Amino acid sequence: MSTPSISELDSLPVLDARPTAEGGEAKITGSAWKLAAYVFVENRLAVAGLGVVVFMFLFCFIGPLIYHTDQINTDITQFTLPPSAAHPLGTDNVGYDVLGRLMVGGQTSLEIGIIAALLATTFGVLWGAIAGFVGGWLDQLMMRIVDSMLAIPTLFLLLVLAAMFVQLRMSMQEFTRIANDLQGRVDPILLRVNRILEDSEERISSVMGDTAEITRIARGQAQKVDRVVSEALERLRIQVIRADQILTGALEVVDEAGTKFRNTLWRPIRQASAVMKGIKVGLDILRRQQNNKPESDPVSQDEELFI
Amino acid sequence: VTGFLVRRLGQSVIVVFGVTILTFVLTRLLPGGVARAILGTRASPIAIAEFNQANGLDLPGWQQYLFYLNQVLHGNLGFSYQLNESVVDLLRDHLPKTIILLGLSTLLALAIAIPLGVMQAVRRNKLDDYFFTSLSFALYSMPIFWLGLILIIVFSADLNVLSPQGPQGDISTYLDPSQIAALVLPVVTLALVEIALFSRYMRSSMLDNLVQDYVRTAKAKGVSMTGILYGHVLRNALLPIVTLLGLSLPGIFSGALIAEAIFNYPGMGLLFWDSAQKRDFPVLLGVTLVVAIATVVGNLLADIGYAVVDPRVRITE
Repeated sequence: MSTPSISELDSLPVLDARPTAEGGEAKITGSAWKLAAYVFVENRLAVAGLGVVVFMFLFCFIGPLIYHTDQINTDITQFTLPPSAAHPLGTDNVGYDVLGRLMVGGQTSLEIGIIAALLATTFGVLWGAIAGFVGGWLDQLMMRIVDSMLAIPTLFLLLVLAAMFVQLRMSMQEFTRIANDLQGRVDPILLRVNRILEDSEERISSVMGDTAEITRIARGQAQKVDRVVSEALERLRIQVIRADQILTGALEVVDEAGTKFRNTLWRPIRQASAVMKGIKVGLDILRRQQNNKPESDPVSQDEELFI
Repeated sequence: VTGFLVRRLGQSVIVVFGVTILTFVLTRLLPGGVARAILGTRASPIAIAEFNQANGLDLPGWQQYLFYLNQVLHGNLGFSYQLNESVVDLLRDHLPKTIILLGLSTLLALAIAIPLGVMQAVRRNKLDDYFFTSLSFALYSMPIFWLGLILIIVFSADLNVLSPQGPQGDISTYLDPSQIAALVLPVVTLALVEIALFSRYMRSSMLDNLVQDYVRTAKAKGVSMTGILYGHVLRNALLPIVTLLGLSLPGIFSGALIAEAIFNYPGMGLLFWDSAQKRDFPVLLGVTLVVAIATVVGNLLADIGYAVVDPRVRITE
């Protein structure tokens, strides 16, 4: 690489590794993917990086298949051992094999890392592309939002979020505890109810034998109740009918008066009759409701069936 | 210049408001709400309702935000019920210590990284350049907690020459010899990582400038190598470092958090770390807000500094 390619920290080497005009261009045919792959392969640093990632994947996901360790049960007799043939990197403070632990832990790290990178790239590209394409005030707004997010150091944000999730988990545990507590309290009651039911089964069956008698008594009671209710309803009905008659009579009188004094007192009387009519309609509705009641009431229906 | 300054200042103000919105949303995202976070998971519904009413938490969201903003603008960042102290008082105790730690380590890092970067650029692709490049990469890729632990093991446990924990006294005792000795390890740990970063950028920035036409002109004019390096190239090469300083502020704050936790250095980072363990949300969010605002201000200062020293920024902006 020539002198201007300085920074190994940024992507400058990628530019330097572009195929030169004489030999390179002719080889590149086909899709953009092919071109990208070609440029990528030409860049030795990038290939080396890919090699490291591939090695990590093999180490973490294929490694445990070859190098078997128990990463589930602790073995306190084997804690903090120095590296040996059995444990190439030694053991940790609860007896896990450190090399095996690295493999298992590396799986999580790789999964999180790749998912985070994918998400970040997807949203970042969309966000930036929209801001740049639309431009203007939207660009400004979107970039200020990005600036605000960048201003909060990642570690601080992560710790706040972690603390929040611990709190959330504690709330969940509290909820589970309350639920268990409630269940613990309800269960004995249910059990007791169950036992009482079992105990009283015999008594119930003996009672069942007397059902015929009970039914007879019940019928008598029901008839009595029904009589009282229907009497009360009948009385109410009569009251309503009487009120209706009075009102209708009054209206007739008013109407008569109206025909008599139409020329002089027409308007006020019309108003009064309108009020009267309103009251009559209201009473009609009330009466209809009262009349409907006996039919729609299931209790009285049952009682009628009894009779 | 004024137009650029005003626009840049306006942007920073908007970003600070954005940050307050973010921290506000974070407080409202707390599981069970603010009341449960402060009163605990066993608080009764009546206690929560009372707390919500007393703190205006039963109002609509935008009113709550304005209330929060008003509190922040009046210097009220909330009250730590765990430490029974207002967050502002806690910050007043802890922030100066973090500033000392950050200031010392950054100064030390710059004092070493700039000459190192210049040297590496001049002697590029030679043995010593490769040596320091490898060293930088090793330090750069090293987790700071690991580096700190190694330094403690070597210098405290094995050699027994330095204190494994930072100065514990009040800030007025920092000039005491024992306190200065205690400061060494935390400062060096932070500085080592920063040196790795800054020297890499310094080296590439120097190399960028060494191939410029003005260097050739200066050579043709008969300026000595030292004159070219320190009179012309260094000054131009320092420009990206100014921006880098501003941009790396969040990283430096994060590094300070870890370093403070390792060395039990009673700064803002340790306060934050302890609060995270105890889920002391008012402190967590207060510190987050302060750090975020410090970052915004740092970036603003870096940009203004850049505009002052490099006229090209002012013209293109």
